[in-house]
This record gives sequence, C-alpha cells and structure tokens, in this order.
Amino acid sequence: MIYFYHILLNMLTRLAKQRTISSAYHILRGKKSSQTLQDIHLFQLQPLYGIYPDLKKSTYDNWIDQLISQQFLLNTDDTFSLDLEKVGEIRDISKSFNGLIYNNFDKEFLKALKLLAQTLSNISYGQFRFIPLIDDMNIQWKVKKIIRENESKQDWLINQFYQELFKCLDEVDEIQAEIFVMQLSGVNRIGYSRKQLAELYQVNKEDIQLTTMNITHSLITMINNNPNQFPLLHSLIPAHKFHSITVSAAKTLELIQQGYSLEKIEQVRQLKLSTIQDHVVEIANQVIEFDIQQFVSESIEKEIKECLARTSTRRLKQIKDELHPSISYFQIRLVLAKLNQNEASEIINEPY
Amino acid sequence: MSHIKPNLEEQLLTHFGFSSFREGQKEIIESVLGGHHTLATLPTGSGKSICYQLPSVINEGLTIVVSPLISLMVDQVKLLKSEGFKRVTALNSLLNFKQKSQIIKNLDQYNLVYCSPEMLQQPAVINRLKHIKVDLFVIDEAHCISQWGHEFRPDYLRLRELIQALEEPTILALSATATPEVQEDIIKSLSVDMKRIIYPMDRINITYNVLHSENQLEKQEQLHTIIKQVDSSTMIYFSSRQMTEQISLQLKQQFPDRQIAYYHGGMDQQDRLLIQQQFMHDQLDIICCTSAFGMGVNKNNIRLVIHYHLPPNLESFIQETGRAGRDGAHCVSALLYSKGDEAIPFQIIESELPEDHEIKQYLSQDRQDTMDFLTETKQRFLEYHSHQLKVNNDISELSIINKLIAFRDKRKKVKIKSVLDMVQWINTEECKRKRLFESYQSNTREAEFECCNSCGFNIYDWELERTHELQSKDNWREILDEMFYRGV
Repeated sequence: MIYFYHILLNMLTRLAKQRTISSAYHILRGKKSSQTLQDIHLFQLQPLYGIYPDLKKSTYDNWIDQLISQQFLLNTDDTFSLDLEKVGEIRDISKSFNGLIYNNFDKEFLKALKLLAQTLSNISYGQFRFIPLIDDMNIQWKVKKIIRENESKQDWLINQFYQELFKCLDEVDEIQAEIFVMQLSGVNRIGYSRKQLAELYQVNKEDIQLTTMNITHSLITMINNNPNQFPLLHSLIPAHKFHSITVSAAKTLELIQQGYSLEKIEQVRQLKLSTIQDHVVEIANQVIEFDIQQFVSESIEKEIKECLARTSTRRLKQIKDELHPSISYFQIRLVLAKLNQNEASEIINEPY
Repeated sequence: MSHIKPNLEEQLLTHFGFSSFREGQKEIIESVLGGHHTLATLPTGSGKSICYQLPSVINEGLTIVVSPLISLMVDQVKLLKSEGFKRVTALNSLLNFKQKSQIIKNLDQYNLVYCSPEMLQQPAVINRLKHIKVDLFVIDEAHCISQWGHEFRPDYLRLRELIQALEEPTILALSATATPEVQEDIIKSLSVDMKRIIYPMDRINITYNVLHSENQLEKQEQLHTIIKQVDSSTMIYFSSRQMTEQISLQLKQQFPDRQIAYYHGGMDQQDRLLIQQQFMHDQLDIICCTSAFGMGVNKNNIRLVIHYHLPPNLESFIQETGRAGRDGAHCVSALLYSKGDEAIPFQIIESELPEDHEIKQYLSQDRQDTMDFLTETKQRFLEYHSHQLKVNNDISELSIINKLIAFRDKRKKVKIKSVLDMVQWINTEECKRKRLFESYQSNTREAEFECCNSCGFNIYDWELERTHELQSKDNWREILDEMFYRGV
C-alpha cells in the first residue's frame, strides 16, 4: 500500500522553506505551468508529477490542516516549515512512480485496460451486450478496434489478455495486485470504487488512488521493458506521448529547430516573449538533447553554476541578486533546468 | 391496422428480443404508426420507452424524443447502444460545441434523437430539423407541460410552435403521472386533437405503509427494525445528499454483513456508474439515494422502497415506489414520517422560486450579465415568463415585475398544495392504496398480495430472507480466473 501521508511528507520536506504550501498540490495534480514543471526538477520530484490529477483542493487542505494541528507544520505567508523531529522518520516510498514520463497517458492506459478487461470477460461468457463502465468515447473506439482486428481469433485474444495481465500482476506485491483486480469489472462482477476499497482496507481514499497509480506505473514499466512478452498490453500504451511537454511548447520547439529566433517566434505565434521563454525552460527541462548554448554563453553558465554552489538556496530572487544585473532570470532558469536534468537522470529512480 | 399486427411482434423480437408486448404498448404503437396524435399514460416501470423506440426503427423518418431529464437520456442512449442500436443519440447541454455541431450536421443519419427542451429552442437545431423528415415527435414526461403538474417546465410550452414549424409530425405525449386535469392541459397546450390511451396507474403488487414517529431517533429505530427483518434488494430515498451518506454509514455499522452504498448527484461520474451497476448486478443489498438515482434503472427484483424523507408530491412518490417489484412479485413501500418533516419540502420550494428582489435584479440586468446569483431553476422560471411578457411590447417594467410575482405565487401555491396533499395522504386512516390513486382513476384494483397498513398489513410481521448469494472471492487469481472463464 502506498500511503498519501508518506508521499506528502516526502514532498514537503523537500519543498519546506523554499516554496509555498500549495506547490506540492500542483505537483500531485500535474499542473502544466512553468513554475510547477520547474519545481519538480529543482526538488527532484519528477516521479510524483501528476500522480493524483483529480485531487481536490479541499482534500489537500484537510491533510495540511491535520499536519498543522499536530504541530508538524508551520505555515507562513510565502512558505512553510516542517518540524522534522516531531514528524519522525520519513519512510521510503515505492520507486515505481514515474509521473513525469507517464502522466500523459497513464490514465488513458488504465481506462483502456479496464474496458478491454470488461469486454473480454463478457465475450468469454458469450455475452455481447453490456453497459461499458468507461464512458470515454476515444477509449471505446480503441477497444472496439482491438476486438475487430482480432475477430477471427477471439479465444486467442481472451487468453492472451488473461496471460499477460496475470504475468504482470504476479510481479507486484500481493496486496497491490488484489487492489488492482478488485477495481476491474467483468461479466459477473462490477469493480469497486476507490471509496469502497478504502473502507474495505480501512485506509484513506487517497491511499487507494496512489496505490492504483503506483501499480499502473509498475505495469507500464514492465510492459515497456518487455514489449515482446506483452504485445497486447503494449498496444494500449500510446507511443507518441512519452515527451511530457505541452502542445504549445512543442510548437515553439519546432520553430527553434527551424532556426527561428525567440523574437521571431513571438511574432509568428502572437504570444508574449515571457510565454515563449517559459516554453524554452520547459523544453530545457524535458528534452535531454536540447542545447541551451544559444541562450546562455559558456562563461555566464559557469558564473551561475558557481553562484548556485556557493548559496544553497533555490529561490530565484536570491540567486538573481547575487549575480551581475546583466544576467537574466531566463538564463538562470535555463541553467537550473539543465543542471537538474543531469542530477535527475541519476536520481529519478532512486528511493527517497 | 390489422395487416401490421403480426409484423409488430416480429419487429419487437428482432429489435428488442421480447416475444410479446406488455400491457398498453401495442395499442399505443399502433396508434402512432396509424398517424394519430396520441396522449398515453402507462404506469412507471411498464416499458414506456418501447412505445417510441419500436416506431423509430419502423418509420423511415426521424423520431425526436423531448425529455427534461438529461441523466435519463444518457442512460437510455447507453442502453440502446449496448443492445446494438447505432442510430441513436442525445442532444443536450453535456455536449461541447464541436460534438453538438457534428450531431446537428448528421441529424438525418439517426433514427432516434433524444433532445432537451432547451436544445429545441436553438435556431441551428430548428433550421436543421425543418429540412429533415420528422415522423414522430415524442414528448416524454408530458405532465411538465401543465402548470398544474408537479414539475412544470416553462420551456415545454414552446414545443407547440416548434411542432407547427415541422409540418406537424405525429405527436406522442407520454406520462406516468397525469391526472385528468393535467391531461386536459396537455391537449390544450398542444392544440391538436389527441387520442387518449389511459392505463391504470395503480400497482397491484405493492403494499403501502406509513410509519409515524415522534422524532428522528425513533425513525432510525424503525428503519433498523425493518432492515433487520428484510434482507433483500432495498432502496432508501432521502431529500438530502448528506443524509444518504450519514445513514448509509450508520447502517453499515449496524449490518456489517450487508452490502450498502450511497448514491447522489454530487458524486463523480465514474463512481455513480459503478454504484449503479453494482446495484443492478445484486452486488449491493441496500442503496441510500436521492431522487437522482433510478431514472434509467430497470432492476426487476427490488423488494422494498423506503422513504426516509417526505417526497415533495404524490407523483414523485408513485414514481419512486414504482421502481419496486417490476418482476410482478410482492414488494413493499414504507414511508417514515416524523411530525414536522414537511418543513424540508417547504424549504426546497422556497429555494426553487425567485424572491421579489431577485425578480427585480433579474430584470435590471443586461443580457450579457452573469446570472450567477440565481439557481438554474430560478433562471429558467424567469427567462421563460419574462420572455412571454416582453412579447407584448407596451408593457411597463413595473407591471412585468407584478406579473412575475403573480406567476411565482401561483406556482408556489401549486407546490405547497402538493406537499399538503402528501401530508394528508400520510395521515389518512382510509385505504392508502385507494387514496393514492383516486385522482388518477375511478376504480383502484384490489391488491394482489397485501394492501396497506390501513387495511391491516403490519410491516413488522414481514420478513424476507436473502435469496441471492453475494460473491465472496477475494483472491485476485481466483477473481481473474472467473472473469475470463478459466478453470471454472
């Protein structure tokens, strides 16, 4: 079981004294703002990005209020602090999360898997009429396509799905497999809601959400590493969605690669320069092969890096004040983005 | 008509898999296929929708169904699609602009289109419809057209204009709860001659009970006693979302071996769908719900419907109790009443209709201004009535205000009277069954099993044991095996 409480404390210890209390909320929801995208790199929270997209603000605030009332946490105007002694040891969390990379398609993958399970279960009992428990039309088309393409070998399809799913679930914790399967619907059973599972296991609804997401990420990793072993499940993963940049940033990237200057892009796209700069930072964060040399000279980069080493802060304002006035926020952010990428690629799957 | 009779049964079997019609269906279908405007009442749960679904596949042109209940529409479309009907869709406010335009563009490709009354006011929809052959125009929940009805919908009154613009397709007005007075009103509003096909509303397999209590605590004890004795598929209706959660939690603690859940309009879509389907599949014994549940639910074996709160009128009560016993076997309705319970429906009435100052504020606003200060029902009320009044040009603002206030007071009166009728029914010592249906039909049939508590039925003597086994598998490997028919 993955506990929301552990995940939250984990995030908060990293963000304490540096960011506002709602920064963790935005990260869990996977907010596509340049601030949040930058934060996850700065504080190595990439794996947890977007793992709880429908987290309600009121739910989050309740958790925070609890920490405050236990005197674990002190909220101030622009940031907050944690009393680490009172909190005690912060437990390791599972390393299976891979939010930054998977958040663009994990929900879609899970829905498709659920609908395919419901469909094949019904077919295996000779039932061809049932109410689909996934309303999303795109998912329904996707599943229909799979069924149609395999019309002549239905038995093979059912067996293949069953075998692949079984093999995957066999690799994760028993309790995780159980929680996952309890949410599936088929001919003779309708899956449990998160709320019902929470009651059954006497945990919070938030714990069920994170546990489900954790298994989903485990499955995706497993399937992606061995596509030959899991051809059917692999076909449920949309291949093109691995880069986690916004659509708008992707357009900007395309223009940069065609040799446009930022000012020219500003004109062509009718966007503010600051927006274009946000895109570039986002791209620098996400796309490893992206070179920032055209925006930051080697000497300036060196200067910024030295400043970062000198001051332990990650607050942009403080860094800017330490540096020569001619160095812009944009340049600092780009250097930070690249720096974090190097650290992140080493740390991304390390346990906290 | 005799030449199409054998054909109809065949069609029913081919398209819906039923070998015979239920009471009233065939008569209504023959009437509309014969081109007669028809007003029909069929009791809740007797398969009203077949009366237009079958004609929609037989007719060449389009069948339009106006329905005020979006969730019902969505459920119906889902159900039809699951049965293999492709040419069916719904036009309502849940669609985004692109989806809407797509459907409107391809409107002639469908057999059956469900439509909210608001959508039918949109010029794009009206213009498109004028170029399409509409064979049948169905007004579902037709009592909404009547100002005397419990659920008056002002926009229903505009349907007449639309129907005239469509070169008068055959009209079918359907209702499960239309008193003779309301029937007159429907025909008058549509200003066409209509053939009336009226079937009795009473349900002979339901036993009616009212249990009085002094306070909420006593009421909860009554609930506990009944649930303890009746271990079968049960619905409990509440007027508030919060109470569905609260009592469901309480019952779970009292009856740990029963499967209990709650359902209301504030839950997210996925959870609502799961809970609804669990109940349909007998995975839940008891569901604590608001009136949002059950629109499209067609479950056969509900044995007990409890009303924890007072419904706002007898019509809603008849509809909600009508979800029980669709299999024809014995079932029971129990209404739990504590003195003063009517305060809740009175409060709801107040919150549904606009206050004087809201009427004034509404009229002083610009068209573009947001109407955030008004609830949806208040907005709908004001929109329609002020529109109607402004059609007469020479009318002063002050007299518009006064007329709106007069309209509002008239509606309020109707609604308050509905609640008082409900209370009167609760307090009557005469036969509950006779009193419940007397405004709909002159003769109420004898009960098939037990009649009501006035006629000697005592709910505390009634016991039912569980007939279905709840699934017990919780090992994930076994669940998967069973799901995909492996090693079973």
